[in-house]
Amino acid sequence: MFRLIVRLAIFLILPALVIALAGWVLHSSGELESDDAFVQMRRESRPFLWGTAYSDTSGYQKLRTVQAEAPEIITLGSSRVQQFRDEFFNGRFFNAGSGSYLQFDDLLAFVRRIPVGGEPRLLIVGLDHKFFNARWTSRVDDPFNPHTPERLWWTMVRVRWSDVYRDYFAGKFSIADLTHTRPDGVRRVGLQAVARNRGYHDDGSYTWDWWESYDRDLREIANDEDVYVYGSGISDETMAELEILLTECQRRGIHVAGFLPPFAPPVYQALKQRRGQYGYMFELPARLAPVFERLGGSFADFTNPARCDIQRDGFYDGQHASSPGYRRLWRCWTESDPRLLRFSSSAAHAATRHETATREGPSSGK
Amino acid sequence: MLFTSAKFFVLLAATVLACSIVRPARRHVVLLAASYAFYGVWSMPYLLLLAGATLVAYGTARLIDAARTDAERRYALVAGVLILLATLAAFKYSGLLASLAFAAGSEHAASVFSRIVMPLGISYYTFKLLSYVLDVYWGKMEAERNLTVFALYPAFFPQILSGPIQRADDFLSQIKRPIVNDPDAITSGLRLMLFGYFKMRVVAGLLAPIVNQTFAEPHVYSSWAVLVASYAFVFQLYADFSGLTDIAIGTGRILGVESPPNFNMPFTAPNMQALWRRWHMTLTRWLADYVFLPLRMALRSWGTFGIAVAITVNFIAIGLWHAASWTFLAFGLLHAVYMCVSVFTLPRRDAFFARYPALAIGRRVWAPLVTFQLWTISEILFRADSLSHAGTVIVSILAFRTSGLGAPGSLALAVSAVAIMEVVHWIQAREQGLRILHAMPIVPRWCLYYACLFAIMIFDQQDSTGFIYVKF
Amino acid sequence: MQSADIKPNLSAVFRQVFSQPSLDIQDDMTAADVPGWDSLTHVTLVFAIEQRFGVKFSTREVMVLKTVGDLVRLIERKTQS
Repeated sequence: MFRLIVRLAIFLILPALVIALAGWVLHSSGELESDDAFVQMRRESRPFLWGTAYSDTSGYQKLRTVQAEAPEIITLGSSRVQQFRDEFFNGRFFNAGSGSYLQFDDLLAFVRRIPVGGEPRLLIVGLDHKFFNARWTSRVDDPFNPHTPERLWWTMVRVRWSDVYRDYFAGKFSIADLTHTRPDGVRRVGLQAVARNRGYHDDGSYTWDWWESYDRDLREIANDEDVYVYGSGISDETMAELEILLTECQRRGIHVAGFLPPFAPPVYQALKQRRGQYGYMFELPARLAPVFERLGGSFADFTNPARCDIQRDGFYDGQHASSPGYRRLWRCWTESDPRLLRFSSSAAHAATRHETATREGPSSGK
Repeated sequence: MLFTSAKFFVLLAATVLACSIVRPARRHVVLLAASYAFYGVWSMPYLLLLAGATLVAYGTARLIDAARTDAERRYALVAGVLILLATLAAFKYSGLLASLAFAAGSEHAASVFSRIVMPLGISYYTFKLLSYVLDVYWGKMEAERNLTVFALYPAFFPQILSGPIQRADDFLSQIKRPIVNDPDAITSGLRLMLFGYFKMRVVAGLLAPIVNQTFAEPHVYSSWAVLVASYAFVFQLYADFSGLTDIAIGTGRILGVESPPNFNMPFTAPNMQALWRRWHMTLTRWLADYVFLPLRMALRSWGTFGIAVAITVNFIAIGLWHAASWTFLAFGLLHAVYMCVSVFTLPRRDAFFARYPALAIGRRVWAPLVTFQLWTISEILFRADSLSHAGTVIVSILAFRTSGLGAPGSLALAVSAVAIMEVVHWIQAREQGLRILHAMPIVPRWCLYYACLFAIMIFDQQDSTGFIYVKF
Repeated sequence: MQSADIKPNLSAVFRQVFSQPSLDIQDDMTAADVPGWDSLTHVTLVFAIEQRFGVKFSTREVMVLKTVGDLVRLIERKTQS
């Protein structure tokens, strides 16, 4: 009997080691870090990059941060607002953009969860074109949910251990990434941050690790897929939600500045060529401008990347301009709308440097 | 606490440990405590129900044994059987009762019925208790006097969730032997459990997406794909259920109780009668002994018609034992038809093939294939949500539609997994197979175990991935 | 009836029910030993025996039968009472 127990124990050593090794990878890369650590780390002076590979609770983290800190300037929207950096602004800034906010009502729900008394003075809303397409129905069920039970470390290890091995053997990260810390003093949380230098900065802005990658966008445009599904007209539901948002913000003393984000030049050309399928995008400015004007907000249409020469600073992909590009966008916008000027920093008006990328990611950026 | 949770293994280990500490004669007390803990963790009120049913059966059997006249014995039997059956029916058909009550205008009763949760394992432990009471009545065994020994019979936790439905005399005689933990039995049990998890997680797990996606929208798939999905369901059910049974048998073996098998290479059966004797064997045998045989005896002067009635009742019972729904009723009726046709024509078929021995060789190949095909059709009813859904699926197959999607999921991987499963089954059925396994040196043997274990572990997390904005 | 008389008659019944003209029954035979003897044909056999020997069995008596020998003894008891 004793012999059996010993054999059993020896037998279990191998599976235990396999899982433990995966667990070490997850732990040392920061994948097991709790979501509230994001808010905690913002209070520290050390800059950080939050890029988890096996979970995404940015929807929750962004809301928690805004609720906890009541920043004066917030950018809110999908991934297409994540390029605003705090150096563009004059005042306490936080970028609350998240890839989890896939529908406009997520933004409305976000604003409603800002506690009374904690309102920002300026709310920059990314009017992602797809929000206004009734055929775009993808959504994250509960974007503000921290998914705490699934984020418990033993659940994460149990569920993700084989993904760790799969990704390691696919070459997505190396052991050196985990043991060797980069000398830039940035604390990296998560495998995407550690291995790919990708993730959310402490001001909530995001850095991608690819550059000028348009193939997928063009393919989706050709195939009526994903964010480029063809539209049949502007969604009345979204327009109604926008009105509600503007009305409520007006009541709470929040100045709302909405903008249509730019597409990369080749993508913009492709969209223009398919007026029949993407007509709604080009009708948006005429519909949106009056609503913002009526309800006291600011509005700008940057769909065309040639405007303000945003395209000069390059794009990550078809729908995400670079951060210098957004600096250029912001500067241009404040020059045409004086109400925004006081929120802008002098750094925003400095000459921009062109952001280039190597295969591993942009070499500059923060 | 399911077989797949960590708590289950903790309980199992604790039970084995406790068994090694107590006196062999007191072993059944440990097993009873563990079984009640297993059930009580899920629901204390329903544990009381289990205990109550146990007492009813215990008491009925003692009364039968103590009765002096035949009439007294019969009254005791009828009372006990009625209480047990009524309890089972009330829970199993609470949904049906709810709609009946609603139709009768009693909303309060309807809401009460619709909120009833089925007690885990009630079908299995009720059938065990009924078989015990009937066995005592028919004189096959004497009533068990020791209540703690008897109480283990319906509650034995490896068997309570989904069988096998072991007979009381077999089980109690094993329990009453003063045995100690046997390392060989534990190893054998663990090995069987490992294979059971493999079948449940890996084999059934690979087949499930093929089945689910196709059955959800049969009209968008080609006829071939729907047919493949139907076959896939048969093997999914087989892998799932035989896997669960293996875990139950393996756990029992670890605890010193040998359970009867539930499956024996069912798809090698040459006709429907033979298939039923190889599929969910303990249920088939239960119905044969406690429903079919008594009914046959009562109707024996009715000749062929009597046989047909007995078969029909028997298979309707099998259908409705699973659930009270039209599809399961249709399943039972279909099998009643299959069985009647098969039983009545078998002598003539045998005579025919005796005259043409050359064809008889071919018969050995196509008889199981035909039987399997018939079985698949009935399993479509088993899987379908409604009769019309079943109809849609069957029509999709018969339409010979070549347009439409092909079979979804990784078909090649699923087929390989099924092949591996059947090879192991084939080995298990042969004594030499097990001897070869034992004779293997430790390294290749452990490699097999590791392959199994890692396959299970990899498949274990296919459940929730959650939303991730940018894939790594 | 005595056991010696019962056996040949019983053999005849077996041969007729299971269509095996050369079947010879032994005391220790069970259902497993006779092809075609299963739960489906068991009662057919019982009924044929009842007809042949002019007796009536109860379900209880039939339930406990395990071997041919049990059957012979049962018939013996029934025909003597």
